[in-house]
Amino acid sequence: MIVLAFERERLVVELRASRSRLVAAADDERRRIARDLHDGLQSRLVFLAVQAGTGAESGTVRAGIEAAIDQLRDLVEGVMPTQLTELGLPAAVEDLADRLPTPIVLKVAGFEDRLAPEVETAAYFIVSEAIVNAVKHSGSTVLSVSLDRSRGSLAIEVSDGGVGGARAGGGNGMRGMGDRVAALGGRLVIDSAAGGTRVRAVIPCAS
Amino acid sequence: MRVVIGEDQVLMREGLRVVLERAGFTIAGEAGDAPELLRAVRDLTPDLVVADIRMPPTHTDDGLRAALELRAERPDLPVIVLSQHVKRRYATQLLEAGPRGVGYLLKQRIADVDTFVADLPRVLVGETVLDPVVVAAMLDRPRAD
Repeated sequence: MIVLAFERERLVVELRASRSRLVAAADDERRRIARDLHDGLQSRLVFLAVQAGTGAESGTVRAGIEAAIDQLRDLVEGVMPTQLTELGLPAAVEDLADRLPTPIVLKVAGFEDRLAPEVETAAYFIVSEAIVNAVKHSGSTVLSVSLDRSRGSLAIEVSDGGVGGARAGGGNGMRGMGDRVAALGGRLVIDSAAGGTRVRAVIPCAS
Repeated sequence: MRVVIGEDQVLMREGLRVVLERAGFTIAGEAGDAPELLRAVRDLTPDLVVADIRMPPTHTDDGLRAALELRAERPDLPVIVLSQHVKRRYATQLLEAGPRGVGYLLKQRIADVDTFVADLPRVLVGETVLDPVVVAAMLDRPRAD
C-alpha cells in the first residue's frame, strides 16, 4: 500500500510538471511568434512605408512588398504548415523532406484517411524536431522517417546513422515533444548510441 | 544638427536614417541596445536622440529607461521615443520627468515623412510632440485621484 501511495504521488508530481511545461511551451511559442512579427514583418513594413513616403522607385517598393509577403508566408508556415492542414501528415512530412539538404528515406503505411488534428500536429512537430536535430547534430548523410498507422496507433520513427548522444530531456524541443505525446496518451523514446539516434513515438489514434 | 539613433532592428534603423537625413540631420551615431545608446549619447553629445522604447538587453522598455537616464543628466536634451504600440505608463513616465523637448510617437509615424520631419524641429525647440494615439490613451482612462 505504501509503495502504491508513493508511486501515485510520484505520478501526480510528474503530471503536474509536464502540464506546466506544456503551458510554458505554449507561452514561449506565442512570444516567439510575437517577436517574429514585431522584429521581422513590422520593421519591414515601416521601412517600406518610409521608402514609399520618400519617393523610392516603385520597383524597389514592390520588391520590398514581395519580400514582406514571403516573410509572412514563412511565418505562417512555421506556426502551422499549410500542407499539414490541407493535405495531412504524409504530404506535410514529404514537403518538409523536400526542403532539407539531407536526403530522407520516407516510409508511410496505413494512411487511408486523415488522423485527428491533434495527433497530426503532434506527429508533424515530432518529425520536424527530430529531423532538425539530426541535421544539426548527427553529422549523418542520410535520415530515415517512418510513419506507420496500424491497430489504433500511430508509430513514428526518425533515425539517423550519426554520432548519437541525444537525450530525451536534453533539449527543450524534445522534452516538449515528450510532453505533447504524453498528453495524447502516447510514449516517446529516444535511443541514442554510437551508431546513431532513433526517436520513436507511439500515439494512440482511433481506427 | 546631429542625431543619435537607438534602434536594434536593422530595417527600422535604415528607415530612420533615411528620414532623418531627409530632415537635414547628420547621423552622429547609431546604437543597437540601451548601454550602447547611453555611451553613444554621452560621447557624441548630439542635438537630438531618437530611440526605440523596446530594445536589448531585456527587450522591454530599455530604450525609454536609457532616454530618461540621459534626460536626467542633460535635462535639455531633446529626445523622441518610438514604440510599436502605445503604453500610457510610458507616456506618463516620460512626461513626468519633464515634458519639454520630448516626443512619443508610434513607429509607423516615421513613414508619414512630412509630418515627422516637421515634428523634429518642434522637439528641438522644447515643444512636446505626442502621437494622437498616445493622447487618446492618456485621456481615455482618467487617473483615480
